[in-house]
Amino acid sequence: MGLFTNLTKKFKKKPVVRVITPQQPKPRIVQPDNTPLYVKRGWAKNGNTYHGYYRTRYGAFRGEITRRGDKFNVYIFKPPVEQIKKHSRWPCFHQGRNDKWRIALARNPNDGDISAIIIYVERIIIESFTR
Amino acid sequence: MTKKRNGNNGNTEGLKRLLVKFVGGEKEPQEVLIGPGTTTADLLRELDLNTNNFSLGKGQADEVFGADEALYPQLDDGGLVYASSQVIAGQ
Repeated sequence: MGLFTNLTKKFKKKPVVRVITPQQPKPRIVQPDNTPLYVKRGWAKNGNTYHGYYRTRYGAFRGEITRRGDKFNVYIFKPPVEQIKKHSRWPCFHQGRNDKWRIALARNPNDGDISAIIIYVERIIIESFTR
Repeated sequence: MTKKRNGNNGNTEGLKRLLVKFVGGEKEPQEVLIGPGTTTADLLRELDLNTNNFSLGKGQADEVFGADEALYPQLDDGGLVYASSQVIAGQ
């Protein structure tokens, strides 16, 4: 018995105990997303030309915006002509080929931001349907 | 919910905290506090933006604030507003 007790004591493993000190969770500061609006709206840039859709609750209309220095050429494909005819900015819409219409701008965005143009064209479309 | 008194930053009671984002994404978003009666033009001036060249909106095309429009009743504390360049169609 004495021998067995000695052997048991010798090979008895010590229990593994680890004290984990509670850590304060590090606050995660979420920075606001600063992605340009035209990227968020799915517009793609190819050289100086941007392609995408003017999206409104009345429909999405394919668009194209080309940058020439500080000036922009703004196009819309197959716009809702019957509605836009009622809008005060209708004379600024000029029909080109293949249902591609150019929208003449009297004032270009002074910071060269095409997102402002997208919002503006979408506003004209919305106003055309609601007026 | 509006801001209560804050000992470190002075009295902000009754002010609303907004985040102004620039649609072009080239400028960093800025936090501002506005009080009752603050108009779009007041806020743009505070941001050093020309009131003739910029406008504020909620991000949707049909939610653009007029230059003299009071922002306070239209925005919630912690709200988001977008600043964008003025664009005008013309022949």
